[in-house]
Amino acid sequence: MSINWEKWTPELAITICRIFGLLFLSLLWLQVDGNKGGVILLLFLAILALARWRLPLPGWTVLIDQTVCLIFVIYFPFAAFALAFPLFETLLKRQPWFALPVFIFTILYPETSILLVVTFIQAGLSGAILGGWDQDTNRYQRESDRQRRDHYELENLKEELLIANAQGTRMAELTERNRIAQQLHDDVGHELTASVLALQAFEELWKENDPDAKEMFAQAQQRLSKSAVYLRETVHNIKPVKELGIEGMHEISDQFTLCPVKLNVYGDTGRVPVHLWGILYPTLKEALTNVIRHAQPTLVEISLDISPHILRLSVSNDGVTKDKGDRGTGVGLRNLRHRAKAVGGSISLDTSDGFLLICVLPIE
Amino acid sequence: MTVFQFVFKRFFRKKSNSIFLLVLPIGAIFLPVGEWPPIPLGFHYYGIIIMFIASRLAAIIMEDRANKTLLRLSVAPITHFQYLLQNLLAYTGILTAVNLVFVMLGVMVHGESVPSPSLLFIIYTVYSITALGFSLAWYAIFRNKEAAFSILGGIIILMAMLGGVLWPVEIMPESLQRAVMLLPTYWVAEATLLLSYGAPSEELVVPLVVMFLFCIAFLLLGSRRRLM
Repeated sequence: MSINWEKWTPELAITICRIFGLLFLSLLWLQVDGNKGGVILLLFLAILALARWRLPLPGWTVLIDQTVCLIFVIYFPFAAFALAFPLFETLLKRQPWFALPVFIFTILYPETSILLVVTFIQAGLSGAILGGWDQDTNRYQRESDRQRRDHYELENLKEELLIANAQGTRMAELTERNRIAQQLHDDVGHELTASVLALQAFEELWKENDPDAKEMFAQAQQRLSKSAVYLRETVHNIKPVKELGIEGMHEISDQFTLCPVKLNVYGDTGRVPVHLWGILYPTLKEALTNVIRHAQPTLVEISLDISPHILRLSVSNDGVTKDKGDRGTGVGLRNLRHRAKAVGGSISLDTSDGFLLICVLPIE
Repeated sequence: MTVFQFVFKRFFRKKSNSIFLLVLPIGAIFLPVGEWPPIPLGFHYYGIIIMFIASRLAAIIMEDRANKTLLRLSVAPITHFQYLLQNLLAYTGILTAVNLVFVMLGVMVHGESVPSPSLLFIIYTVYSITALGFSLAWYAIFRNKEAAFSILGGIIILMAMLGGVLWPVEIMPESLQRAVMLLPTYWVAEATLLLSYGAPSEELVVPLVVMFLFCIAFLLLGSRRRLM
């Protein structure tokens, strides 16, 4: 037979303790002197126990228990044992100073017996143990609640970032398309239409052997060549000044003049999505800046491995780090970490031996 | 006070409840004076009748729980405390009215042999609240309405027998005589006996206080919010 320990909560144990306490006190009352005042004391203790079970009573209420018990002790000696109840409750609530009257009573009471002291110790100990159990359970529950909440928040943040990333890419695409359409319409489109009209006019004049035909043809030709120039200019304008792709990496590494830079690329760079380049460039820049700031390198090695599912960028140098010690990561790197996290990747940093930065990003 | 009003509507809608409320007390009034106690028997047995009526009344809350009205009330703009308070107020009102009618009719029928009608009325009213609390606490334990109701009938009779309502406590064994002090029925019997033997009214304080304490304990136990 297996016992379901999940059912044994501190609350249940506390309730069982209280019920048994009341039961034992009733038996004692039956054995010693069954008079009517005892019923009132028992009922009073039962009411307080029930109230503590139902509502969160403050710690000082045990002073009421103690006062009533001490008054009853004058008439009925068995009420001394009832003092075990407030003792149990104070230690359960972790406020032992409220049990001071019980201690004073135990010392001053002329009829204090070993049995009475043992009862008090037993009640106090069980109260302390159950109180500790309850406290621990509550603490762990709170902690796990907090962690769960944090987890959900992070999960939400991640999703939002991913959506924002995708939206940003799409917005950029649309803006760019808009610009291209506008340019084509404004410059090239007008010139082409004008030259088409000029050619039609030339056709009419040419059929009638008009002397103006020659001039019209020259005009149309001029317009056509002009629109060709516009088209070339537009295409030139549309094309980004800086190349996206591995050329950008080369450019950044070429700008680094402190020491020689070795850039190794393995794999097909055409497979890297555009938005990942947007993370790789600043990461490389940040890494090189950090190298300048914290190390004295003779050679910086950059390697970019592109496998079918993952890409890995590592930047390392051989020089010694200038200032050893625990530095927190800067704002730039923290932002990059968030961005890498948003696409499911990670950036790790090691400064124990030289400077090493590794950025791993998944490819779709 | 919608809940308050509906208690009356729901309770008196059933014909059996109205008849129950009338027949038992009026029948009890016409019981003669027996050998024990020196008071018309009806006044002594009235404690049991109060318990039966209270069990009928408190069954309304049990019914609410059984047909999930309580679950729906938990999303209504009314607190559980308000719900309980209005219900208990209505029950107490009904029981107090019955007590008043019973004592008045009793005085009319028996005349001089009733010791003190006003004190009797106070005892019955305090005991009514205790009985209501007891029924509430009893129903809070059970999930099945029929089981709770049928067992409660037996329990009430048993408590009455042990508590000295049907026969004197003194004829029972010594050890049992003390144990039954922990039953609320003992104290209502004790109070009516003290009254019938003409004890000074100060002595009535102890049974009344004990009944009141029982009432608080039962209400604390029964007011726990159980939705299922």
